[in-house]
Amino acid sequence: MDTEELKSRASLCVVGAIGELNALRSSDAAVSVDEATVLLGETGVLDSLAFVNLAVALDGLVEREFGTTPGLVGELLGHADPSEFGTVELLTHFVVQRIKSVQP
Amino acid sequence: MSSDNLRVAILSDANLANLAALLRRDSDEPGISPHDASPGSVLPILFDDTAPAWSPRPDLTLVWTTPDGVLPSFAEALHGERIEGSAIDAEVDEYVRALEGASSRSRWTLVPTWLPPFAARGLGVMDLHDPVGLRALLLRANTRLSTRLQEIPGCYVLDAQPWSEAAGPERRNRRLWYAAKVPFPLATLQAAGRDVRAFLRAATGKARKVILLDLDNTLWGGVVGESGWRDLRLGGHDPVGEAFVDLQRTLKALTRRGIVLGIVSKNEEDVALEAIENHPEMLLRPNDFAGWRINWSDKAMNVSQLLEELRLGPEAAVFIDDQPAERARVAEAFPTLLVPDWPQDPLAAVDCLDGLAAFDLIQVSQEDLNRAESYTAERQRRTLRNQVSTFGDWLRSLDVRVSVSELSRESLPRATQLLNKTNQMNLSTRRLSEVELWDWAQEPGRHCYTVRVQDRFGDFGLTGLFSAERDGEILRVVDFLLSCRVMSRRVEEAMVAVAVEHGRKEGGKAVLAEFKPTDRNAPMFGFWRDVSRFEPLEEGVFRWDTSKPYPRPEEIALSIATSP
Repeated sequence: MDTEELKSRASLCVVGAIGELNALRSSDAAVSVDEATVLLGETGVLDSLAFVNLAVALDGLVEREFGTTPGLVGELLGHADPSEFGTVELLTHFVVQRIKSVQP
Repeated sequence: MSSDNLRVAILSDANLANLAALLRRDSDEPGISPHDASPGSVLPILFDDTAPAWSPRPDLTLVWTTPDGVLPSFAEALHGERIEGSAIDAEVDEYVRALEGASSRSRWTLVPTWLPPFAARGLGVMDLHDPVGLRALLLRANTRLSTRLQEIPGCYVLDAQPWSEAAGPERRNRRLWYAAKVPFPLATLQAAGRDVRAFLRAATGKARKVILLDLDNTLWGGVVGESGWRDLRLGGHDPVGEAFVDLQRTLKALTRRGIVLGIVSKNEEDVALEAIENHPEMLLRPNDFAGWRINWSDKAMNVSQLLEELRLGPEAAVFIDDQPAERARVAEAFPTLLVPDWPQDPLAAVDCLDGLAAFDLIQVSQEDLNRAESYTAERQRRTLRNQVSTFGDWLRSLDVRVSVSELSRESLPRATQLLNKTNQMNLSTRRLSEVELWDWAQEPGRHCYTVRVQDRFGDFGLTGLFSAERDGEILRVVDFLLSCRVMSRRVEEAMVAVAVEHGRKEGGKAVLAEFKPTDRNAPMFGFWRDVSRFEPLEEGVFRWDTSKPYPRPEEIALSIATSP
C-alpha cells in the first residue's frame, strides 16, 4: 500500500469517526470534516469527552479498515503533545504514522 | 421541533453524558431537557431530597447504575469471592428502598436492569448453573429488582439487555470505559434513548393509537384484484408468505393491547373483504379492523375520513404502505402522522414495525384490552344511526348508561391513564402520575370523579373523568376529559350536570370551567362554547350560576354511585 492510498483510507476513517461523533451533537454544533478544522486547544471545537468519543470511534474504524489495532485511544488520550493531532489534517497524519508503525 | 420540554434527571455511577447528549439532540416527540448529574455514588442522592438533582423537579428520573456500583456483594463476586444470594437480595432491597423514597420527587422513575460488567465470565460454562455464578447472581438481582419496583407507583423497570445487544460485539469495547468511565457504546445509548423517549410518549399520551394499513404487498403478497385471493402470497411454504403472516400476527397482538387497525387501500371493496374473510392464512379478519376505506379515491382523503370516523387525530396514527408515492402523499397531507419508510422486502416488515417504538403503554387497562371489540360495536352503532330519524331517538335506542363514581384506589390506574392520554376532549390537559392524582384528590375541598359508559352494544369502560375544587363560593372544574369514543353522545352534559349538582350541594354560587388550549383540544372548546349552555365570560372561561339546576340529558340514564 503506497502512502497516498494509506492517507486516503485513513482520511475516510477520520471522516467516519467525526460522523459518529456528530451523532451525539446537534446540527448547529456538528464538527466539520474540513482538514483545517481545529479540534483541540483554545480554539478547538471538542471538549474532553468529545475527543474521547472521537478517538474511540476512530480506533474502531481503523481496526475495521486496516485489520490492525494501532492503539489509537491509548496514544491519543495519553499522548504528551496534543498539537500533533490538533486539527483534522494533523489527526489524519497521526493515524497514518501509527498504522505505518504497526504494519510490517 | 417538539413543544414539550420534559426534564429528565439522569443519575448514574458511571458517565452517561453521551446519553444526555443524545436525548438533547433528538428532535422527536416529546422534547427532553436532560440533566446529567455528575457520575458518582447514586444512593446518597436518592436519600437526599436537597440534592441538586431534584431542583427543579424532574418529570422523569432515570437511575441507571452498574451492578457492582450499588451491590457491594456483586463487586466482591467480580473479584472471585463466593457470595450468597441472600446477601445480594438484601442489597437489592436497600436499593429499592432508596428508589422508593426518591420516587415522589419526580412524576416517573425509570430503572434499567443491570447489565453484566465487562469481565463477567465468572464461572464460565457453569456461571448460570451455580447459584453463586456472576450471571446467576445478576439474574437473581434483576428479577428481585423488577418484582420489587413494580410495587412502587410511578416506578418502572426497563430491560437494558436489548440495548446492549444493539451494540453487537462493540458492547464489550472497554476503550470508552478506560478513557472516560463511559460504560456503554453509542449504539447501546441510542437504543436506551429510544426507549426512554417511547416511555415518555406513552406517559404523556403521545403514543400512537391506530395503524392504517394498505393491503396489496403490505398485508399480503400480490395484488388481490389481479390474482384473486387464492393466489396471494400469504403463509404456506414460502418465506415471503410466512413474513406476511408474521406481520399480521404482530399487528393482531397489538390490537390485544388496545391498538386500533384500519385499512386504507386502493382496491374493490368487495374483492378485498372477500380475501380478508376467506383466505385460510389470514390472521386478521374484518372484526380486527375498526374501519376501512377501500376504494380508488385519494389515500390522503381516505385517511382523513377514516380518522374522523374513528375520532382520532393524525398525531395518533401510523400509516403503512409499500408504495413510496402513497406514503409521500399522506405524509405531506398530515405532517404529524407517522409514515415510516416501509421496507420493500417483506421479510424486514416486522422488524420495521417493532423499530417504530410508537405503541408503548405504561399500563394496560381493561379498556385497552377491549378496544378492538369496541370498534366493532361502534360500526353497529353507526348502522343503527342510519335506521332512526333523530339524534335523540338514536341515543334512546342505544340505551346509553352513564355511571359516575368518586375516584378510588381501584379506578386510579385507569383514571391516570385516561388523564395522561386524552388530548382532544380535554379541558385543561393536566398530566399527573398516579401518586400525584391521588394526593391531589385527597385534599379538602377537592373531588375527582370517574365516568363509565355502557350501551346496548357494549361497555366502553372508564372513559371519562372530571375533578373540581372549591375556591370560596366558586367550584372550579379542574379536569374535564372524555375519551373520543364516547364524545357527542351527551355524556359530556351528564358530567356537567353532576358537577353542577356537586357545586349546588357544596353551597357554591357558581361553577367555573377554564379552557386551556393546546394544539389538539379544540373539540372540547367547541363543547363548552356551543353545547354546555354555560355563560362565556372572558376568553375560554365558562360559568354556570348554581341557583339554576343544570338539566340532565333525558336520553341517557345517569347514575351516581357516590353521591357528591
